[in-house]
Amino acid sequence: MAQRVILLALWLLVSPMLLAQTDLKINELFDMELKGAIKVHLSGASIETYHLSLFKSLTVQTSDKTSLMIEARIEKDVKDAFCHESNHTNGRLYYGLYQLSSNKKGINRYIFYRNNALKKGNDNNITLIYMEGRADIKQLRKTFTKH
Amino acid sequence: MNNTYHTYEAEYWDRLIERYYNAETTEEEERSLKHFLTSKEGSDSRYDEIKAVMGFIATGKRQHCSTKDTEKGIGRQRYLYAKIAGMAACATMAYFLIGHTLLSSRPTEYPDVCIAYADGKHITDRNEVLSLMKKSMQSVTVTEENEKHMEEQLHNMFNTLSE
Repeated sequence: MAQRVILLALWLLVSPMLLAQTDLKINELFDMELKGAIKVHLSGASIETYHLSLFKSLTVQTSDKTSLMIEARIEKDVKDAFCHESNHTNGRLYYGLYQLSSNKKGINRYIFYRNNALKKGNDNNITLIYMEGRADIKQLRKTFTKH
Repeated sequence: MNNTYHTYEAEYWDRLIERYYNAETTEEEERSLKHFLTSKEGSDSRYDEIKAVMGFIATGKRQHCSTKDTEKGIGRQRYLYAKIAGMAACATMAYFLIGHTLLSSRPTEYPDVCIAYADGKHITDRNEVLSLMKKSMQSVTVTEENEKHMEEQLHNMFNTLSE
């Protein structure tokens, strides 16, 4: 019994470090087999020049079911997040740029999302991005906005 | 074990699948759903879509045990699993405690990874992967303000053409 209590206490001490990324519902989406999806995974030295340590993206042709599934998970994860910018169309999330609470090392965490199927004339793609790094939102916009 | 699924109507599983899509299922419910999908009752073609989403392949069905095989020695099995789980937990904690100490000064906690998946292919060429990364970032950072600006530009362009 004492052994189990000690093990549990040690696990509670360690787990917050492990859960910085793994507690998010959107992580399930990056592991899913979604037909026609394009997935990108970059971490470590590959993206240090962007002041990022982790970049994961998922781009998929939307069906209503897929987009609702993705939206449900995003809404759960961004409940307590700071919303830099978002737009809804007919009650659905069209796009959102969210910043989650930083982890213990002060690393910023972001969820970016866009559902192009909700506006006429756009392609039918949904794009979901999760990032961690020291870059702030201004730096990210400056680096990646198309000119 | 097969009888368990008969007690749950198809309606139960349909509701659970819908709750899964809405991110409302608990871990236990997801485990239960995955187990059902690998059973004989879950082989119906109506479940093909959820199986595809949950990443199932045909070999998952072979892992589903028969009732007779699992009833024998289940007590012994549980004891062994508990012992192995305890040892694994100790080893994991020791690993992370030591690893955290060693890695705490590193600026990045993640290994170097550079990979993409598109059209069923793995892409490891750095330039290609970075190009896909930039494309996806650009597609989400086009905001309403930028869109209005682009619409204005297009409007002005067409006005000029018609003059």
